[in-house]
Amino acid sequence: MSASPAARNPRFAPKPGLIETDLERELVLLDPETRQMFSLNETGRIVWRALGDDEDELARRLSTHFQAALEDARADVRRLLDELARAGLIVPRADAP
Amino acid sequence: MRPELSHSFAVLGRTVSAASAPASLIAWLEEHWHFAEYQTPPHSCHIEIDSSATTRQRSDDPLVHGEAALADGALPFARHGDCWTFGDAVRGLDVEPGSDAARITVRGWGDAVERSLAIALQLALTEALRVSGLVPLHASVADGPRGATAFLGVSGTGKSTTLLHAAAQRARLIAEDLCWLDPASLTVFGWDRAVRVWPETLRRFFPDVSASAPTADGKVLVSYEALGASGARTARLKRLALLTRDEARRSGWEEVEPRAAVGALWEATGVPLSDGARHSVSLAAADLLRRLELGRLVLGEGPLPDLVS
Repeated sequence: MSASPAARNPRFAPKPGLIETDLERELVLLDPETRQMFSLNETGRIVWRALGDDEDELARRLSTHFQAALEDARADVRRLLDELARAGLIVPRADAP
Repeated sequence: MRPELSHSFAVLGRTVSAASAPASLIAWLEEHWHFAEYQTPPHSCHIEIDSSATTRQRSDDPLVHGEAALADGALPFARHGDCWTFGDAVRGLDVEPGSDAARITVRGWGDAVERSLAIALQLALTEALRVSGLVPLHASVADGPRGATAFLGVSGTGKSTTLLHAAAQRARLIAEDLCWLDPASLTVFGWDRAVRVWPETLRRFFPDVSASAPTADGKVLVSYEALGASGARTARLKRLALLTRDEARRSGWEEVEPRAAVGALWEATGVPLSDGARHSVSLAAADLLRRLELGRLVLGEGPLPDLVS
């Protein structure tokens, strides 16, 4: 059985309780539970601010913003979301269809 | 029947009122929270402390347990929606922080101050003031010709010693351990009553200044006046200095990465309990890091540089 559209194109939300400090060119995340800090560059900041969009939508945002090829943007989004998920900073959206 | 009093005073423009409070609670509030010398414009926030309620707040929201981080441990709490409860039905408190009004219900405050209840009330008042827009800083602060510098660092890094260095350089002392910052005006207000320092450190910088008998941890208390500070201890903040102790490096000023400054600032201000306070402090933190000078002060080999010019 093939994966559902939502599973192929998941949506994520920030882990509840994270503290954000937006320095405009850099976004710093602090997890009060683990006391770990993470820094997102401009690309990461754009994706973070649009969390809730699915991966295709995120890729289109990056492609438009940086005037980059859509496939390159899609790869960047996938890589970033994987890193954020491994770090425990994002969770699947509960209201995803 | 134990006498109960009502009392009201301003904390940086915010009104704190205590109804039906035992005298020991009023005295505690006066000692830790009333600094009449700080005259600021009135603010709409009203913090009400109620000692008359005997039943715990009820809520239909799910009960969530957590811990509030302290400098020397953690304090457990239970959260019902926007109400945090510390302690139990006999001795404890509930706090409901809000941007214009906060309600703190205290249970079991006796004639003698019980430490965990006092810590909980300290947390509750801190949270209420955070939501109202102020930022607490565990920092030492010294004022110079161009403005004040807040020295940030975890316990043991050297905040107090650095402050005495600054005093020896004729800086005006603002705070040794705790201050409150109004991020809109960048005005910082010293919030400790005396300088707490190791006796040998005091002797090193001010051999002729007298101090209290050592406290339980061996440190002594010195009045700000004895160290040359007079009048209201307020100043305009211009710089955040991250202290780094490293005997392998030369003492002096270095540049600091914004991310490191973010970490140090959150360490100094503490993580708020409520989403409202976290949002308020997050915005303030980002704004402060844009407006203030940032630097790393290495406490290493050799004499310290000018600390406040």
